[in-house]
Amino acid sequence: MTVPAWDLDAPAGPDRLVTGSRSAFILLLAVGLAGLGLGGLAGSTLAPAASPELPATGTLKIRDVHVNASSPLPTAGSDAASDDSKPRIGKAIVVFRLNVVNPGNQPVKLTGLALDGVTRTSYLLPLNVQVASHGSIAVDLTAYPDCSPGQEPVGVRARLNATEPDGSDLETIRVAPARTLSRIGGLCSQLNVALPNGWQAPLWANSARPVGPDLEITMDDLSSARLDGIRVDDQLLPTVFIGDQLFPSSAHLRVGETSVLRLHGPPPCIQFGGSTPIPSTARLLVRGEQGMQQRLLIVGPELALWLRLDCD
Amino acid sequence: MRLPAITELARRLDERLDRRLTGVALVGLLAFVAGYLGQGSWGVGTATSSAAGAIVTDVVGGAGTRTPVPATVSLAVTNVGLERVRVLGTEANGLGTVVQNLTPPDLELDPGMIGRFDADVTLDCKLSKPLRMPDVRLELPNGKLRRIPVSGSGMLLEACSRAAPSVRPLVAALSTPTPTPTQPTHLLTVQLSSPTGRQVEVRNIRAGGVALRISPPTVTITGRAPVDVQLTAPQGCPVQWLVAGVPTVLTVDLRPASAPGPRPTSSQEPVSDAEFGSTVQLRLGPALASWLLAACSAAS
Repeated sequence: MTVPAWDLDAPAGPDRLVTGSRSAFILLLAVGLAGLGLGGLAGSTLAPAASPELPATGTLKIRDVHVNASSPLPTAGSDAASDDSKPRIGKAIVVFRLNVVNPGNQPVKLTGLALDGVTRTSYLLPLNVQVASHGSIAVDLTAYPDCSPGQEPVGVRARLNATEPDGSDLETIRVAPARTLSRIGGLCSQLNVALPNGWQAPLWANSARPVGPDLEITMDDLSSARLDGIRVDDQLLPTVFIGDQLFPSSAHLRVGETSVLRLHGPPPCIQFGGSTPIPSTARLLVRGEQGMQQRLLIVGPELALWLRLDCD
Repeated sequence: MRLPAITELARRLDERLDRRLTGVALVGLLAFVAGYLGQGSWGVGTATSSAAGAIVTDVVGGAGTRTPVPATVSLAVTNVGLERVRVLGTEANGLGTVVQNLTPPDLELDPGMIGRFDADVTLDCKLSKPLRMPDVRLELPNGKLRRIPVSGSGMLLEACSRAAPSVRPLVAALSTPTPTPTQPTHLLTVQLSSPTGRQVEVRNIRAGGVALRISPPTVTITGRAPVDVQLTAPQGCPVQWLVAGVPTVLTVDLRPASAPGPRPTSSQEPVSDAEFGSTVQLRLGPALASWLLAACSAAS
């Protein structure tokens, strides 16, 4: 029997060395990849399922609304809403309540709230707050909506800009507004529900004081306001509502002079049920281009004081 | 030159093969371990990147004397994942809540979409524990089911606050019906209690959108025993009341008393809580308006 003359100690030729190393490398790679794959498969099968990371979520609702009365006031009887050259009144201020929940394991830093449907353009409210892991925050934010004529009656949409606490990984958190905000009509429709009718172009009392059983209210010249009522001599008996109740009253109107409206007392006792506030405004019936209209007259707490609240 | 014997050749070959096999086995083992431990990180064999969150957005109803208290709860489910998911409604029962009807019964959500559900529920407002909505059920594209907890269940107390006084989370009474001559005009003491024994912490009290100063600053209602809280009226008549009228109700921000965490929620100083609370209204009627008006007059 002839044995081949293999000399295993002989130095390998260059080709043989390269081929052997390549084969070994490929073998190791294949085994490594196969091991990784099998390990992953075994891990996913045997390891208990990790609970998924839940995303941060938020909701937005109206907390309070009121009307900005700090602006200079136009002359009573003028149409403030249609004249841009005069200072506007009846601008609503909305306080939103934003609630954000972070069920994740990492804190989230909120840098801003972008709102659509509040003004004609996107409205950005800056934030600098952190929501702890497994925590939540409630933030109150003030916004100045645009409910002027021509504003699209769209629902409110909101999203939060958020980062990791170190400022990395910018992401957006979708915020779900309350039902009433997200439907057609959106914010402005809600303002009309929350505020007295005519809040956008009210008349304004300069003063109000009790005179005997009556309440005397002075205003700028109302002679051009076309108040509806019955004229008796030089006095007008206008139609004035407080709440849903008609109040006897008289008005003294002269062109160029301060107008005086007198609510005749003693006031009847008015029952205000539920959470209805005690009125600080009255409504006057006026003749407009489209028939009879009501205009809001802002009197102030003097009116609420004059009304009888102790009905029992 | 002397050639090695065939037995020597075989021995050397065995040794080399042993070393190679050992090395390959070691690499394979290490790779297997790495694959086993790391599969969660790179997603081999795991579910898809689907994720969704659910939150209560509105709670309406609850007025009346019926128990359990009926209410309609709006839920928003947001799909923040990369794939379309199907929301199969909610489980039937939560903690103190039973879902009677869900509209729509299910819906599909594309990535980035917010879906809305309206749930007609009945609430066990007598329960002294925090109420909780049942989980939302999610079907992933691979057919797996996942349960998503609903955030914001604290808002359910808002329906309870409109129900019969005996099941409300908080009720208020005036310690003196009208301010006494010895009591400063701008101060009013109210007695707060929880008829159901629910432990709640009062965070803020507002009247017509205006925050009232409260004393003590941290009020914890531990049950039926009334707790005196002194309110301070704002200086002057706030502009908030000029158009909307003088308030007859107090608006109170509540949260469960057991939840730790720093205080309030004013616009510039937010806080982190385990679960955000609820906002309830306490009707004091003309007595509240009279007090606020008296404070207005005194200030002016």
